[in-house]
Amino acid sequence: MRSETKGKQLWLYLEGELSAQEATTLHKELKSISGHQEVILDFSAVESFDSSIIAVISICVEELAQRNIVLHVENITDAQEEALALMPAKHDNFGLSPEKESILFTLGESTLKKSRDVLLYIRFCARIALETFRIMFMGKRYAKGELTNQSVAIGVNAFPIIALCSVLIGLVLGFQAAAQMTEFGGIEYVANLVGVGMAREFGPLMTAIVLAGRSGSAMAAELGTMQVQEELDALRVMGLDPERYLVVPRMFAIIIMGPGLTLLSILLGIFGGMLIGVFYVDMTALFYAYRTITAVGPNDIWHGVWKSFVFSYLIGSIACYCGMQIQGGASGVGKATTKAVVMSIFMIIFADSIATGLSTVVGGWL
Amino acid sequence: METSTYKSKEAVISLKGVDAGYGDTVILSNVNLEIWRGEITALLGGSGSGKSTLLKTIIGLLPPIKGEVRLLGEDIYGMDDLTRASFMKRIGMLFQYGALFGSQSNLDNVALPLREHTNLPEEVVREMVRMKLELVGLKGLENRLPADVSGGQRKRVALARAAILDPEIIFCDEPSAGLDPIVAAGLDDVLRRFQRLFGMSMVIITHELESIKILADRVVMLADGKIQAVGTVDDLSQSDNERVYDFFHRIAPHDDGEDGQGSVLERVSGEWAREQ
Repeated sequence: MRSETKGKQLWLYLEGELSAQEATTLHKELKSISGHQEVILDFSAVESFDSSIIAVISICVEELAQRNIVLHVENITDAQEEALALMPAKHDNFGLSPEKESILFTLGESTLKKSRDVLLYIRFCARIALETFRIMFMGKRYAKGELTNQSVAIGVNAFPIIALCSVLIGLVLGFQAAAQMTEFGGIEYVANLVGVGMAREFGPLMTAIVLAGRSGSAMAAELGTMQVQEELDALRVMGLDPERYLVVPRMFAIIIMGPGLTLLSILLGIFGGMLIGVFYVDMTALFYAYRTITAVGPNDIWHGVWKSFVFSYLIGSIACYCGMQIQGGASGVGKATTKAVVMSIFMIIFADSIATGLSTVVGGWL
Repeated sequence: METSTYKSKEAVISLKGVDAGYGDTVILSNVNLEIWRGEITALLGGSGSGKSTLLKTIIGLLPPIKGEVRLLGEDIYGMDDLTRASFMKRIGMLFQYGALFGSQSNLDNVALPLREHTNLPEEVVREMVRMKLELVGLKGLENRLPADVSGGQRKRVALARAAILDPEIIFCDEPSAGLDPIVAAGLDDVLRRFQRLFGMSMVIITHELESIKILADRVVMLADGKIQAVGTVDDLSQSDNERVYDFFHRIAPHDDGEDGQGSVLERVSGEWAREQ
């Protein structure tokens, strides 16, 4: 680009095919102008230009005008003039993001949003209860075969990973217990620790966390995708409540499968501990089993199982709630899935601490 | 700015003896086609006629089973990855449902190709986005997410994105599908304006006869995996080819019950049983 000063005028001679690179140069050049009253862009040697050049002209004509410098073009062809004529001129309020709110406002708003979320969740749970009642006592229907399909997807397919994790947790518990108990000469208590630990805490927790990560996320994503693709609306229009038709069978499936998987998890965890007992601290399998049976009472198993009911209910309802509350397309599905998993794991641990506290204080069958 | 008048016809797309399809299934056979620079060409055909397959083959998403495909004079399937990536800057594509990125604002969606492919200052990028958005008739929606605007507006944002690098050719997959007639007409108008303003060539897949009459310089009619006819709208509406004639005169394929099923009435009226 050649430039020439004629009195108070600055002539810039543009040439060739102008595109983004030349636009960047022109932008820099025009911004740095000072001491002239008039800037003239000469287009006589320009073969073609693209919209980046028009954008630069559009910006700089305004900016230079503020500094009392006039910008105009010369020797432009009709076709080029038409291109400039069709491009809408600059105005100031493009892309201005709305003003930032104060911290107090944001805090208040997010608190309100969270509490609204909790209320909606409670309402959703009430709705599920109502629809369950309708299915059980009023002969209403849910999606045919859905209970079986979901039970297989949630329960049966999750078994291998839960089994593996449980055996490993049993092993770890066994090792830790063995290391501590040898110091007190009470090595046979390894069986007690593993047995009671698995039955009361690790069995239900392990199962619930794997279910939340594996099955809860899948439920949220599936329902969320259905919501995005208007499948849920389609059900409503056909007179089928998605809550009854889709959510209730999923809730049933997870509430049946959760405690079942927990029982298996407890058994496998004890088996893992037994491996340590037999191969690491030289107990016989029979003795280990005897110690376990005397240590783990029906109360312990029951404690694990009823907690597992609660956990399963939480996972199912939170996952379905998040899935159905989804907003805004594909990215919404991702957010809802994350929210479902994080919320259910948090709620599981929260509920667990309450349940354990209750059980310790009240005792008995809790 | 390139002007839209060209003295000699130059092919922006040329296909010679192309067979295309998926795996062993041949959907298009022996396609020979040339599309001229600066023209709006409509690709016409019923559902399942191979329109999308042809488009995918042209833009480099589906290698042809046989034959030669040239886009802007280049063999797109013979390029290495880097050449091809920079070549793709010369074409734009408006997808059927917009294909905007849901996590980014409309402004960022349109600015993406500029930010990735050029070193223009942010100020210029924003100005270009503003101009293109206003050209497609959108004001004040740049900070919204695609999910928060209507289907027609989303398509306009997508068109602005397709045109942001001033491509030589734009492909539009059913631009007016799912839009009301007024919005569709508005979009047709924008497409025309773009073509005139930037001298762009356009290939438009559609089955909206109204759009075709307004937009298309030339029409390519596909049916049964073959090109049935190529010509102006007037040429084709007077065509002798049965498939083309039926399409232009909105004649539904007549079901004369030759497959031996007949209607329920025929089955129960006794005549069917007697005929058997």
